Amino acid sequence: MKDMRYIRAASVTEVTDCLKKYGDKAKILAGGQSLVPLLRQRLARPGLLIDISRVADLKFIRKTKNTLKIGALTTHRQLETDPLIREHLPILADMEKQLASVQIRNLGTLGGNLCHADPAGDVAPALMALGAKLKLISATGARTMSVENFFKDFFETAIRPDEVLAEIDIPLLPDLGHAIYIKHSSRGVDTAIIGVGTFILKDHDTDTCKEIRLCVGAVGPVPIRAKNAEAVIRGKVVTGKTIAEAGKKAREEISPVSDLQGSAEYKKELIEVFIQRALKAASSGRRK
Amino acid sequence: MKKYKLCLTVNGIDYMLEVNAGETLQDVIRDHLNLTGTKTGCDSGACGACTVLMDGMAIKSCLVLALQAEGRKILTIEGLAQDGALHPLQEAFVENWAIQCGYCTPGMILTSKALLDENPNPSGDDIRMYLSGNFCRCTGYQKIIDAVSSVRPLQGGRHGKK
Repeated sequence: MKDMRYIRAASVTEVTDCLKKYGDKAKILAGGQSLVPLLRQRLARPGLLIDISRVADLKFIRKTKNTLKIGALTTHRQLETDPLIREHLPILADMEKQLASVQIRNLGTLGGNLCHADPAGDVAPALMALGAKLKLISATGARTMSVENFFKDFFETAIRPDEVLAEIDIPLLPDLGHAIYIKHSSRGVDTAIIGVGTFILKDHDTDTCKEIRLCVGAVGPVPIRAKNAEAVIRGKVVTGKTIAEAGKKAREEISPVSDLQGSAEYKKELIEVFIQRALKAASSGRRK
Repeated sequence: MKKYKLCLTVNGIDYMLEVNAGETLQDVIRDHLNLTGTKTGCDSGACGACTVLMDGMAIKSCLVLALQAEGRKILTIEGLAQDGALHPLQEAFVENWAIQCGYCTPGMILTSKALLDENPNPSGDDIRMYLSGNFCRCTGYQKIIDAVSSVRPLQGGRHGKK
């Protein structure tokens, strides 16, 4: 860290030019709430920090016809308190309330959280449930990828060394769509022992489930979709019986790993319980 | 080792300093400016003992590189009393016996100030939620919540005792 250099970028072009030049020798600094402790503990030792926190073009929350577009530098606290988010995607405001402490939410960014790729992160399962897409920019162009394909392993993502995450696009909920995020942790401010992001869309006439996504965080190297549990619910009316069965399926299909927050055995129990709670809450008929 | 120029305002005083890229705001406050009221606890963002206000927002100074604070206005516990008169929150902490060993107190008071600036009439739960990133290792939480609850807005946007 002693010979680490620092650049304060003023524009997206400056960021991508720097990344093109320095590649994986450089590390992007956004809010710093995950990176600074890694630097202190010598777990990250970049030759260069590119501070992007003043790039104004990456700070926005905009509504289009079908999506909310969120700049990667939008802070957790902004998401928690923004009226557009509260109106259209209250799941995100709820999720942010449960994320770390207010001090950390004041500076930590949505993009930084995703790129840090902590398997126990709260943002990823919520965004996965919503079917969000990420826009990555490099000096040579831009590409879009789903949040689901973004995570590769513990603290590893599909982002290339020459790319910066610029924008998160989230589809607005359809009329009968409902999304929630629930979490379990020792204290409110602690990282998740388990986090479940859920999206359910029911048919207006038959009340059967048309679309479902169950996304579980903190139980593996990356957030996981409980696809067998989804299959139990999809096409059916959500009842106590199907909810119980889905919980069992999720427990069978996910093999959690032990971490500092909880043992694999404990997490296995929590998967069943939290999938059931998530389904119960998400299908209770409250709109959104 | 490359040094970088850093300009920031701490407790109303403008400073121009030279820092390394890896130094945190906490290092600058404590080691360059000798303002040791800002405490070092866990040095990893968990305990909140190093909380200061940056442009009015509560932040953990161990999680911010000094260079990220370029041009910002920082308030530390030393800057809270005005002309020798304690801030109402400081008085409330004294009167409610909300200080045991005192190590968490600067962070608790500054986080509480950010809360009251945002929400002048917080409920007990609002206070608990807002202070959840500040640990009191003596576990004297109830007295701290009593102290913050006892401070209520006066006319003109200032705070005083209930």
